[in-house]
This record gives sequence, structure tokens and C-alpha cells, in this order.
Amino acid sequence: MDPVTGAAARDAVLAVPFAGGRSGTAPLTWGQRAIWHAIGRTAPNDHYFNLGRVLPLADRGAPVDAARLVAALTSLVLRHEALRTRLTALPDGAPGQLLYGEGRFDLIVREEPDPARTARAAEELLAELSGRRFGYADEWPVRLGAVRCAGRITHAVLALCHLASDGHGAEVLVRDLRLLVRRGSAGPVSARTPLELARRQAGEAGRRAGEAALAHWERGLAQAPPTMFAAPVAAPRTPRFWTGRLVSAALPRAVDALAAGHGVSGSAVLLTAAAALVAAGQGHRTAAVMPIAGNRAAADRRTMVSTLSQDALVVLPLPDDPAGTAVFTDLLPGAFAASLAGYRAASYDPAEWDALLERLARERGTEVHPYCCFNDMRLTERVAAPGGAPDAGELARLRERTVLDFPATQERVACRYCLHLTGDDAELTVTLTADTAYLPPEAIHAHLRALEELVVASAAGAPPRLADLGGLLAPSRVRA
Amino acid sequence: MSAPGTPPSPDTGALRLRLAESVARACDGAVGAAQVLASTESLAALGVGSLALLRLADAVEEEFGVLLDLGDGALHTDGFDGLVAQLVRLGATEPRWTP
Repeated sequence: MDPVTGAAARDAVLAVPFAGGRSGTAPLTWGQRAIWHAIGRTAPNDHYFNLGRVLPLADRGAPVDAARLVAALTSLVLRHEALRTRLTALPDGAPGQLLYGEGRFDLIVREEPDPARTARAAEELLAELSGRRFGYADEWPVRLGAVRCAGRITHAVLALCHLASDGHGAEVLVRDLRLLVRRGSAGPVSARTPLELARRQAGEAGRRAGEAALAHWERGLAQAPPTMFAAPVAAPRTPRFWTGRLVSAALPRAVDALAAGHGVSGSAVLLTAAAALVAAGQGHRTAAVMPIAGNRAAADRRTMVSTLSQDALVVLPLPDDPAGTAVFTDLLPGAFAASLAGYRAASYDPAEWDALLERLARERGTEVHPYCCFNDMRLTERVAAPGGAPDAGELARLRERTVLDFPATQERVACRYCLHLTGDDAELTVTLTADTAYLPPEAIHAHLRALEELVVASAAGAPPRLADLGGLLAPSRVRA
Repeated sequence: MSAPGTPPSPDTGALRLRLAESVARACDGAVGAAQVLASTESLAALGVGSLALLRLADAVEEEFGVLLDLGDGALHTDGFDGLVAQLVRLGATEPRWTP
């Protein structure tokens, strides 16, 4: 069996056996192939893509012992085929997926004698389990952990390989595991599985849908500059990629108010703001942004555990504005429509996508890729929080609590501008991971600050003029 | 299908009804078909969210065999009537018109 990597001396290792499941082989789904390509471009730092979740189990309900957790985990891996699927080579040499009907996982149980430290121990175990790259063909795509205090399991820990699941799927797993531990059952399972989805995508219906999606990409890319960040502006830092972070209590209120006022989604407000600022900062008249699309609108995909997310393309032409009177909020209705069209065209064969971009590069004589991505990781379709539109004074008070920092750096990321959104109604966390050769650290913070300023000023009834967006990014303004 | 060059027939009753039912299904029933039929505001103002619009596009493709252009701004500004007009332009027809 597999060596038990990640177990420390004080850990117990328990077997989680499973048997009686379906087995089979199929090509990779488009979503799996997309993340597999991204992993290849990011190796050996591909642990960047790992996902982690901690499930607290000591908060309420009957005490959970290890046997109960093992039984629940066995049910979980039988229920979700993605968890017992590994990468394999198909007869033609292409990467494929191999579903196992039986096998054994290892559960690492960490003893934590101090009841006040169990949550911290769980986070530490998660960091250990998710901090190493997966053996995609030789290892199960989920590493299982737990923290035990005085014989009672306080936390379950799941470190997930992105080939098996995206963030939505990880939430499904946590919900199901909670139900399996508490009740022993978790209701009906998603009818769609990665194996069947792969076979459907390889068939005629899949080919038609993929072609329609790639036609959208070709039309959009033809309207946009070859890339949003064309020329390095500084010597890259070491490590080269810096993550800037803005935590804002003003943004969620301002975003909700703008979304409600303009009949668009909150996500579209933030996408439009980011796109307009990138275009202004780089001197483009058209912005091209690649949001990560969940591809989970269809009812049969909502609770499917797999990686369905793929890149979408949203192209946003800025209006002709010779008088300089157009304001940011003028962009919202058109940008919302453009983003819906983009999200609709986000399911396609990544190999054909690669071929399209190679052909466009030959035709235009230069590499074609926006290198500008946007990932709204908030999970549900959001409705505006109660409380109505905030006034300017309230937004200004909330902004006093805004925090800006640099929490992380990376050696290698296959993009130049990656904006990630997490958070809730009370606080929005916006991180921008960027290539410091194109966006030096001060420019990363300038973009984050300007994003907040643009959205908050617009919600307060004073939307900045599009002609002034470049000024919002000026470093002197950030220092002020 | 109406002859080329003729304006869309104002008699789009059956199409409107089927489409309103599709919108209601895409919204998981949060917005009713009758409410959609009676609406004059944008679909967003009616409470049709972005995920529902994506589901609607899937449903329209399946039921009417046409690819809905979500990037057409009219869908958002002209509401349900704009959606009906787009489908008529795309050649989606009521069952009784189908040859």
C-alpha cells in the first residue's frame, strides 16, 4: 500500500477501507484536463492548487470517536467516485481517469491533549497535508486527517487534490461528511459522475457545446489586445509572484448597493471594476478578463464532486468617450451581459482551447492570452444583505477598518494578474497575486486600493469618471 | 416559420407561455410563470439571478434548438419581452408553426 506520508510521531494511522464500489476507466473530463494543464505549468509548486477543509465535530451533538469517523469516511469515498479516482495513462498515451471499486485510505489521527488547542492543531495538520503536491497516479486524491482530544474526535481534516474537486465540490464533501458522521446518511447523491461526464463530453453533444464555447472565445479574443500586461516594467522580485490582500468591510455593502441599483450581480460589479482598472492602468481601450467559471448552473451539477470549473472569457470594450464624461457605473449593464455570455462559454476541451490560442498567435504574430484572471470564490448566488443602500458616511466609517498587506509570495504562477474574492456579507477579502515584473508590489496594492475606492465611491453616489481611473492607480494616491 | 422579411408575428402567445415556464423552472420556482408573463421590468429586477439566466440558456437551447445570446443587452434592458423578441429573431417558433 501507499506509504503514510505526513504522519508525525505522535499520530496514529487508521485504515479507512472501502469495497463494493463501481470501477472503470475514462478520458479526463474537460475540467480535469484544464486543471491538469495548469498543474503541469505550475509544477513543482503545484501544491498551490491543493484545497483544504476542516470540519469541526466537537461543537455540538454526541461525541464522535474514531470508529464513527472511519465509518463516515468509508461512506464518503464510496458515495463520491471522484475521491477514489486516480490519474492513469490511457492506451493511446493520453491522461485518463481510473476509478477504483475497492481499496484503503489512511486516516492520520493527531492527538492533542490540550482542549483549547484542537482547532489550531487541525489547521496545522491541514497545512501539513495540503502543503505537498499529490502523487496524481500513485496516491488517492484526498488526504484524510483528524484531531483527537481525550478519546474524542474534535476535527476532521480533508486535503484535496484539485484534479478530484473544485471549491464547490469541497463544500459538498464537508456537508456530506458532517451528515454521515452525525446521522449515518447524507441523502441522495448527485446523479452525474466524472466518468459519465467525461464520456458525454467525448461524444457528439459535447463536441457541439465545446465548439460553440470556443467560437465565443475566438470572437472575444479578436476584439481584445493580445494580452493585458504586455511589457515588464521592473526587475522581478524574488520570489517573483506577490500576493497583496485587502480586507474590507465597506466593499460588501457597496457591492450589494451597486448590484441592486443597476440590476446586475455583485460578482459582475467587482469583475467590471477590476477589468476597468486593468485597462486604465495598461492603457487599453478594451479589457479582457478570464473569470474562473464554476460551470455548476445546471441542476445535475450542483452537488457533483469534481473539478468542473474552467476559464471563461469576458471582453469589455470601454465606450468612446471623447468628452470624458462617462462614469464607471455606465459600464455595469453591458459588462453584466458580457460576463453572462462569458460564463456560458466556459465548458470546452482545453486541448482545443490550446490549439485555438496557438492558431490566433500565428495569425496575429504574437502570443494571445489575457493573463488576467478573476476568481470569485464565494460559493452561492448572493442576494443583497438587508439594511438597504449605505450612505457615504457609513461607507467612510467602514473603510477606516480596511487592512492592506502582503500575506504570501510564490515562485511560479502561470498568470500575471490573479484576483481572488473570498468572504461574506460582513467582510470581503480581495487578494491579487501578480507577477512583480509587470505589477511591482506597490502597483499590486494600488490596484486593490483603487478597486475599493472605485466601488465605494460609486455606491456613495459619486462614480468616478472612466477618464480618471488611471489617476486612481497613481502611487502618490496610495501613500496618501 | 414566418416568411423572410416579414416582421415577427405579434401572435407569440404560445411561445411566451412556454418561455415563461422555462424562466420559472430556471429560477427553481422563486419567480412564477404568471409573474414573468405580466412583467415589464428587466429579468434581474424581477429576481432572475445570473445562475438562473445560465440555466435558462441551457433550457432554451434544449427546448427551442436555438443558442440564446446572453451577451445581448436587450435581455437585461427589455426584460421578458426582449427575451421573446430575441427568440423570435433566432427562429424559435411555436409548435403549431413547426412544419
